[in-house]
Amino acid sequence: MSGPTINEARANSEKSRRPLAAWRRHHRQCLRGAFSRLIRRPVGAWATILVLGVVLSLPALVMTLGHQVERLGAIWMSDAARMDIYLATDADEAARQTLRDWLDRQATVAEQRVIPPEEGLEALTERLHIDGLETLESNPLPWVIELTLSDARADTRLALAEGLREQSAVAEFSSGDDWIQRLEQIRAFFDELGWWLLILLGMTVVFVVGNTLRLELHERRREIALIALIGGTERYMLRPLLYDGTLSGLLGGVVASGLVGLALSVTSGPIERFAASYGAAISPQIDPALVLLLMTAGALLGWLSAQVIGRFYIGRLSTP
Amino acid sequence: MIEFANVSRRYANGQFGLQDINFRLPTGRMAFLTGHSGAGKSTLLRLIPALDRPTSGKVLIGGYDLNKMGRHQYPKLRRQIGVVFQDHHLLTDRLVFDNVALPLQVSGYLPGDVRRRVDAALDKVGLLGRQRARIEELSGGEQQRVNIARALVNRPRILLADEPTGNLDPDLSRDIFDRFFEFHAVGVTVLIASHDVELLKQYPVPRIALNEGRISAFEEAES
Repeated sequence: MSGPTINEARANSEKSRRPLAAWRRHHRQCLRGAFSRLIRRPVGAWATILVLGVVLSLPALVMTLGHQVERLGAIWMSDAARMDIYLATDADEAARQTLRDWLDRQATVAEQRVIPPEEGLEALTERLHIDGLETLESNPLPWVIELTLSDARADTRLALAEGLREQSAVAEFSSGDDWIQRLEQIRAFFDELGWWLLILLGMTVVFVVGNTLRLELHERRREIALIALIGGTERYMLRPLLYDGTLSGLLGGVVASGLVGLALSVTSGPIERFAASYGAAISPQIDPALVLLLMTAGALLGWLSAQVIGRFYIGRLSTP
Repeated sequence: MIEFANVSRRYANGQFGLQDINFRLPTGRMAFLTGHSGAGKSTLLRLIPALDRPTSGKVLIGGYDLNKMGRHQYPKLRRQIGVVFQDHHLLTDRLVFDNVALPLQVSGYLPGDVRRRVDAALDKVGLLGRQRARIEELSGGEQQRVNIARALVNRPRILLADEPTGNLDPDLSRDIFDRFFEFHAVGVTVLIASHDVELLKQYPVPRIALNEGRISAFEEAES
């Protein structure tokens, strides 16, 4: 062999290594490889993605159902955007005015009507057909302020209620929002159920992706053993797998979003008719946040699966 | 330097693949490992790049005790060792270029450097111009030369070969041994396992003879 000595050659060889650039390049290669496998092995790859889509769409459907219940409930309860405030008996004119001014400043209060005790007593007399109430020594009824709220959402009420509790002139206020709270609880239940399903079915995703990756690893076992022999690190061997898993998961999330969208468009007729009967117009659409959640969850689960399965098998293929 | 100290390798069935092996191969030296098939040559070679672990005893490479080496340190060790296998271990669905380039890509070389080095390595084994050929289009001898090019492309400090001429004709075998000898001449530590006694006689290189997993003889180079 002529030319430089082996030690000079080795020194040159160290100089021409560019680990960072090569690392970036390998990432790009792995990404391209992951896409090309979708084309090269369409049946296997897309079957996995479809299964992921179906599995992920279940929790998403449950969450969407909760969301729709809340929206429909809000329409149903739209005439319940009211609240009655009962003032303290010791609240004088000045305290009442302070409270009214405070209420005026609240964006959630659309209108307020003051009902003096006399008017309340009249209304009560009329409603109950009782005579002689006017002969009572003192009027037992408090001052009442009847509020019309800007909307009927429970959090609007809650925010207002919190403020009201701090007003000294307020003795009590109608909770009147039992129904909204119930709806809220139903929605919370659906939400929680959705999250539980996502966790539970997320494990299924890990296994489904893992099984596909395991088959791929089995096919590439000679290559992996060879890469291990010539000094490839575990991370180097794992990298293509991570891209495959993440991409499958991400696309599974996209398919799941599509399925939820499809389910919504199928049921949109009844929902729109219900809304129309209350004079409201809603067209059920998939929540963009849910799409983002599904894609993120899919990608994360795919990546996790590749980590678990990849490390296990690569470890076995590359070490004594 | 390769050093084996009281190395044994016992299999799960209780049989010994290697028993009480002691030898030292100083840096830049060359030796042959001889013996019948089943004598333990491959088992011994596999211990050097930590593809297998001894059940007892120590293997030291460049002074490092492999027993004390963690899994994450294997890549660094293996990048310094070129291995030529009995069965080719080539990726048959890839091009010659891709096979030879693999160790460089794994070690982080950029495409320009990879191309230059692969060309140089293929030139050394007389396959320049066959970069774009598929492995399956090559003859057995050519495949073995691709294997050698891949083992050398990274300019390893140690070169191991396991029956590198197993299925080649005598002329080609000598040609390949000549190349190993050249690498030894420029400072690479070379250990070659072969049972081709006639071929080995032509080289003034010490021989470690294995028999049933034990060293039966240590013959100094004849000159």
